[in-house]
Amino acid sequence: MALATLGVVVLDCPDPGALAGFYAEVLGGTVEGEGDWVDLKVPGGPSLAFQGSPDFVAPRWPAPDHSQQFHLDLTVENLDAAEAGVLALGAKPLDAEDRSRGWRVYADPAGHPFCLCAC
Amino acid sequence: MAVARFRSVVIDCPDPRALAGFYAAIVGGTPQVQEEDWVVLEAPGVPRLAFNLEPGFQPPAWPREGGNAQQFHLDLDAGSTWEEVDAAQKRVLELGARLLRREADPVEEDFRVFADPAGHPFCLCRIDHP
Repeated sequence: MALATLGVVVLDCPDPGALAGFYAEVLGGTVEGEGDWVDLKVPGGPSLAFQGSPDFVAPRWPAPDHSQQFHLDLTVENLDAAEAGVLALGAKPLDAEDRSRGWRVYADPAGHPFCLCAC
Repeated sequence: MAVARFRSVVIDCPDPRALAGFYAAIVGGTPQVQEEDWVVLEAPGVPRLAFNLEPGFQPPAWPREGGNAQQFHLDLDAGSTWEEVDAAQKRVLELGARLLRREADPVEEDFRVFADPAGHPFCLCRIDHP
C-alpha cells in the first residue's frame, strides 16, 4: 500500500496570481485563491499550486552547474502553433531552434523551464 | 482553447532509478526504465512523474536564510490524522528522506517538510477528508 497520495505540484514564484494565469491560459482550468497561494486544477491533469516566494531567484538553465531541478512536460499536437501561443503569453524560448526534434524548451514568465512535446 | 495538455512532472536527479524507486515506495506504481537517463513512474491517481539524469546535479539549496525558493516541490497527502503523518514520516526516513522542518504549531500548520534522497524538498501534509 502507498504511504501517501500526490496532492499537488507547487511552483514557487514572485507573483502567484500572474503565474497561475499563465498556466491557466496554456492548460485550461480555473484559478482559485489569491495572495501567497493560488491553486489551478488542470483538466485531466494534476493540481498545480503557485506559492509566493520572497526574493525568488529564477532557475538558471542551461548551465552545467544549474539543473532544471523540476519541470513540466506539456503535450501538444502542433509545435509551431503551441509555440506561438506560449510566446504570446509571455514565455521565452530556451532551447527551441532545432526543428527536427519533437520537443522544445521554454521558460515560463517566472523563469521555470517547461517543454512542449509532440511525441 | 488550451494550448497544451499536461504530460509529466520531470524531476532532475543524479540517479533516476534510485529516485524513482524512492517515490514508488511512497505513492505506489512501478518505475519503468525507458532509457538509462529517463525513468517514468505512473501510479493510479498520481500525475505522471519522470526522473531525468542530470550529470553534475547539485541539489536545491533550501532552506536558506533570505527566502531562497524551493522552485518546485511535491505535496503528498499522508492522511487526515497526525498518527498517519507520523507513520508516513517513519517510512520516508527509512527510505532515505531527511526532515527539513517540522510543523511549529500543529493547529496552524498541517505539513512537515522533507528532502528526498536527491535533496528536493517535499511535504507530508495532513489533509482532512470529509
